This record gives sequence, C-alpha cells and structure tokens, in this order.
Amino acid sequence: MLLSDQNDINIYDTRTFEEVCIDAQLSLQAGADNAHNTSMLAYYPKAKRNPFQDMLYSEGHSQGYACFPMRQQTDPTKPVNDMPFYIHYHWVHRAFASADDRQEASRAAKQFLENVDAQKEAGFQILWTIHNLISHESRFPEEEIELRAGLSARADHVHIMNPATREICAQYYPIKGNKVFMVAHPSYAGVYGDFISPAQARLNLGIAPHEKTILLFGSMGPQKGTRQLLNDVPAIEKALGDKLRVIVAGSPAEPAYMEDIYKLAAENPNVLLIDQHIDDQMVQTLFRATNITVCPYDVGLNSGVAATAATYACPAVVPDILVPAMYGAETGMIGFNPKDRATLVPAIIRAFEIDQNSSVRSSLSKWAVDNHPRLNSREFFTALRARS
Amino acid sequence: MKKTDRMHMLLRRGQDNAIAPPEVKSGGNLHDIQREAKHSLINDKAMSQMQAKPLSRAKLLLARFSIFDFFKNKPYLLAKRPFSVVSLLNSGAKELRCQLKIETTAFHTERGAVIASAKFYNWYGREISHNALSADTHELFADPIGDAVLQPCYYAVPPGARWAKVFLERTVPERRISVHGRLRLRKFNNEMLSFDDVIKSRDCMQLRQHLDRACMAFDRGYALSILGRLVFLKRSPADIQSMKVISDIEQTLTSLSSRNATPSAQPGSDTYEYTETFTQPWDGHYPLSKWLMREVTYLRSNAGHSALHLSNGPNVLLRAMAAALSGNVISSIPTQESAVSINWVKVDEVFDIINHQQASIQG
Repeated sequence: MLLSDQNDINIYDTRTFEEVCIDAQLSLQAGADNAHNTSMLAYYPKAKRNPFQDMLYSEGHSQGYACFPMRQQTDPTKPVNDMPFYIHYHWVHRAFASADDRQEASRAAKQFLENVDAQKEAGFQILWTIHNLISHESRFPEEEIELRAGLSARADHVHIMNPATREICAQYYPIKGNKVFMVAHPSYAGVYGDFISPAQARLNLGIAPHEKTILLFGSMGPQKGTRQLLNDVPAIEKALGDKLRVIVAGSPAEPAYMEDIYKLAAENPNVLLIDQHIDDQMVQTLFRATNITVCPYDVGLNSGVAATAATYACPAVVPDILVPAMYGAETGMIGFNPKDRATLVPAIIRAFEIDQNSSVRSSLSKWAVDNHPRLNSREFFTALRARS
Repeated sequence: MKKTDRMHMLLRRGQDNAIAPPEVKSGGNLHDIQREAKHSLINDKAMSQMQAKPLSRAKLLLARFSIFDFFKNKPYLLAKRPFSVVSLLNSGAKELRCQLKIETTAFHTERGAVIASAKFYNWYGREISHNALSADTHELFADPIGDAVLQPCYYAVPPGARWAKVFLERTVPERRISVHGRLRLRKFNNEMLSFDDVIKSRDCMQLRQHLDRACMAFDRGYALSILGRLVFLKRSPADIQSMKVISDIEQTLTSLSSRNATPSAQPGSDTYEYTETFTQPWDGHYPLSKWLMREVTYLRSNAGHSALHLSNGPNVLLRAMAAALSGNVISSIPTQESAVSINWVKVDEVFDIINHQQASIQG
C-alpha cells in the first residue's frame, strides 16, 4: 500500500495518529515502573509557539502518562484496549478558525461538540483546561460561549488555574464543582534563558540605566489594551514626574489594528515597538531590561505574561481577577479594574513604587521556584489520577 | 563600477586581510573573502555565459498566442512577471505534456525556481474548473548553465476543453532564469522510461508508475529506490512515510528470519489458541515493527511460554509474524493457501521464516 498525499502528516513528523499512539504505549511500557497504572493523554489543539503544554506535560512519563498532540479533533476514534485515555482540550476557539460568519461559527461549534460526544461514547475521558473566560481574539463571542457551555457540560474533568474561575465563568456558562481541580499556572523557570544582567539587557535595547521602563509583552490585539495604554502614557508620565520608556513586543495583530499601534508608537520616540514573534532567547532581555510589566487586558483569567514577569522577579500590573491566580506572588502583582480604566494609571504608579522593594522581588523569585513547571506538572497528574 | 573592477576589489580586500590576523578585521577572514571573490567571478561568468535574451514585445505577443513557439529553438529569459501561452488543443487528447529546460545564473540547482501551471477553457473561452488543481502545477528546478535537463510537465485535460493556457512564473527574482523547450502542450503517449532512465529523471509521474509496478510485484528494493528519488525531488511527507514503512518491513523480515524460537515449551505441553490479533490489525500506514512489538507484548502476557496454536482465519500473516517474534513454539501452522499477502509482504516470505524457525527448534 502506498500512502496518499491526503494523509494529514507533515514533513517533520510523518507519523499517523495511530502510530503515535503505539509509540506512546511502547514508551510507557519501556520506561515506567508503574506500567500497570499508565494512561494516554492526547491534547488539542497544539500550541505552536507557547511552551505551556510542554511545561504542563513535562512530568507526564514519570507519572505514567504518555502525552501527545492531536493534529485534528477527530484523530482519536477508539481508546487503546483497556488503558485510560484522556482527550485534553485547551484553546477551544480554534474550532472557529475556518468560520467566516456567525452561521459557520455556530455550525463549527455544533460539530465540535458532536465530536466530543462521539469521543465520550467511544470511552475517552474528556479533560478541559480553562485558560480564559473567552479567547483574547474571539471573533464570535456568542458562539464561543455556546461552545464553552457545551464543553463544560460534557467534560469529565475541568482543570482551572485561577481559584475564581467558576465564579467568573458562571455569568456565561456554569461549571460543575465536582468536575473541577485547581493546579496553578507554572512559572517559566528553566523554560527561557536567564543569564543576562539587567544592565546588559538595557544596553542591548538602548535603554539608559535610570530610565523608567514598562513592558507590554505577547501577541498584540484589540483586547490586549495596548492602544489604551499608549494613549495613557502622558498621564503616567505626569503621575510619575518622569519620562517613561515603553517596550511593546510581540506578534502583530490584523493590519487595521496595527496601523493604530504604528501611529501611536510613531508619535512617541520613547516607545520601542518590536512587532514580531519574540524569539525565546530575546525574552530574558525584555524582562530583565524593564522595571515593570503591564498586562492591560480587558479580560483575563490567567496570564502567561504575568507568570513570565514573576519568573524574572519583575512586578506586574494585571486585571484584578488575575491576582488570585498568582497565589504566593500577590505582593508583586498589582491589580486594576478593567471595567474602570482610570484605575490602570494608579496601579502602574504603585508597581513602580514596589519595584525597588527587594522583598517583593524575593517573593516573586520564590513563587517561580515553588511553581517550577516540573513541580506543577507532577501536581497536575497527581490531581488527575486522584479523580480517576 | 564594472564587474571585473568589483572582482579585483574583492581580491585586493582578501590580500589586505592577509596582512592582519583575520580575527582582528571585521567582515570575515581571508578564506571567506577569497571565496566571495571566486563566487563573484563564477557569477559574472555565468551571467556572461547565459546567452538567453528577453523576448521582444512583438515576439512576446506572437508567443502568447502560440503563433510561433520561440522557446522551442533557443532559450529566452523569463521576465519577472508571469508569462502565459495560449494554444488550441488536439481533440481527444486526455493527457498533455510539455518539456522544458530551465537555467539559472546561480551556482547551484534551485528548487521550485519556476512554477508551470495550466488552465483549460471550452470553445467559447469559459474556464473549465479542474478537480485536481494541484496536479496541474509543477514546481520546476532551475539548473546552472550547461547542466539543464528536460523536465516534463503533465496536464490532464478536463472534458470539453479546447484551449489551454500554460503559465510560467519565476519565484527567484534575484537571478536570471531562462526557459528552453516547446511550450505548446503535446499529446503524451504514455511511453514508459526504463528504470535506469527514470531513476535519474525528474519525471515524478513516471516514477510513480514505476512505484505502482514495484508495489504489484512486492519488490521492496525497487520501491525504495524509486521512493528515494521521489523524496529527493518532492519531499512529500506521504513518500517519506512510505519509505519508512517499506524499509521497516525489510528490516523486520530480515531480523525475524535470523531469530530462533526459544524452546521453553515442548510440543504437547500447554497450548494457547492464538486465533485473532489483540489489537487492530496493522493497516500499512506505519512501521510494521511497531505493530508487532505491541502485539507481542499482549501475546506474551496472555500466552506466557505456552505453545501457540495458529489457526486459519483472519490476519494469519500478522499473527504468524507476531508468533515468530514472540519466540514461542508454534504447535500448528496454518495452511499457506489460507493466507493472503499484506502490504509489501508476501505469504511465502512469512511461511519460510516460520518453517525455518520451527525446523531449528526440532533440529
């Protein structure tokens, strides 16, 4: 038999899903002492650049779980014999990737949930990690909420990283308490490089040692609040009584939105705009060069950016609902109310005040160690096993 | 600055660099600069060797409507903008072909330097949509001057088509690209190239015909050679996976044939009825050895060291291979006639292995 080009395989990993399942099973048999207590976990969708999934599953094998991505939601059709098999959903808004209008989005949501029903019917356990109340770049908010409500009803296990998740989501979709388990967002310790000194990082970016600097990091988009923050710069400078350097770094959003950002950045020579995907080696330079990180998001349950800032012992300004998610690092996380943008400037001023406080930086560093990805991963699998 | 002046300047820079330690100077060491100068020389030489010129406006117009096929007689430079040729089709032709030589001023062969595609129209000029559109697009190699070979572009003619428009588009704007060959689509008579010729060619269609032939004959060596060429030319994931699968079969059968059974169970002792596979039968889309390893794990945990009774029935060949790999004694072997060949594996290959293995136990 010759394979047709229609197979969903790529040049860097030509394995079919079935082959990956066999590899997973063989790797568990070869390595695990607890070979009798093993499980498979297929996750969807795979994040291409965000290391979150690799961090979360980093201790999978030691805990008896073989974790691997699904290329398509419909990849798994039947669990492998009697071994527990989890299907782990993450950023479910990807279901709308090919939808052009609301009608298509509604159809996509329905199809997605039908696939989940078929998977449950076939014997898979459904696990869902709630990263956000609704995706940052949601194009079809109503349909996405419909999808999330459907998945919440169907999931066997719901992983949350913010203790307030149920309460916050309840206004849009209920999550049954008996499905939920909480394991915090990991830090990025050991994930990104961390060897450049703050002085060198500032030199690399052309920022003088005395300049007060804020960083807005991560892919850009209308719901990230970048536009508003750039408009707020004069007010922040007035309250600080000093000039402010602003670094905006991350993948650009759609052209119309970016035109606004380019215009605002062009008006202020103190804004350094790096509108591209940030290479892992560049991350430390940005976070080490800055005084504080600002996450001026409209919505947010968890934030990888806040966790990255804490990893580099950098105080962060975050939506107030996000503070409890950073348990242990609260002293370095200054909340603002996204519904009242006037609270953002005082929060930034407060963050600058604590920037020089060594105990704040120590508590952030401790949080990063306590939430090392491998520790969190172990905690995640222990909690999952306890539920089965 | 003239090109020769630039070359001399580069060589001089190289000599200057030789005075100071190379690492002190910025811009590379002596070796790099001399290489740069040498490449510059080759590039200039290539530019002067390429005798192709652009088509004049008048010729361009005549060529577009296929009044004259200028490219047939000598190479012409491909302009940066896509170029198309319209031609009337011979009625009744189902498959058409043109063959082109593409040259570049680069020092090396460039993949996908030119894209050749075709669109088809009915008598009245209405485009006929084609189901397999991608099959009508060919990414052609451009070779250094003097090294170009003919590259075929095949097109399946949709029913009702009377006109064809062939598009040529260059993808490397930095270098000069010339095209030589008949641009008018001609009927393809399906004459098959020999293996020796096809294995050196860039004719993927003929390579696939040879691959089909290898598949029918269960000739894995022949198939691996053809697939090796196809992977080099196209880097298709499906071909890479097929290569992995076929070469894995080759290795699996070799390893099975040299494997001896462990006579831990004597004939007449406990017998395990191995009547069906424990897992989904192997479907040929991934390496057989992986399927066997997993199957054998289940077989061993169920059968232990018992002798295996292999009955006739579904997936005999797969069960026989798993049994042979497990090392258990096989107390009864099914009849060879009851088995059917599976992907790339012949019945007699597997039965030879089992018979040899069991003979070694009895011997």
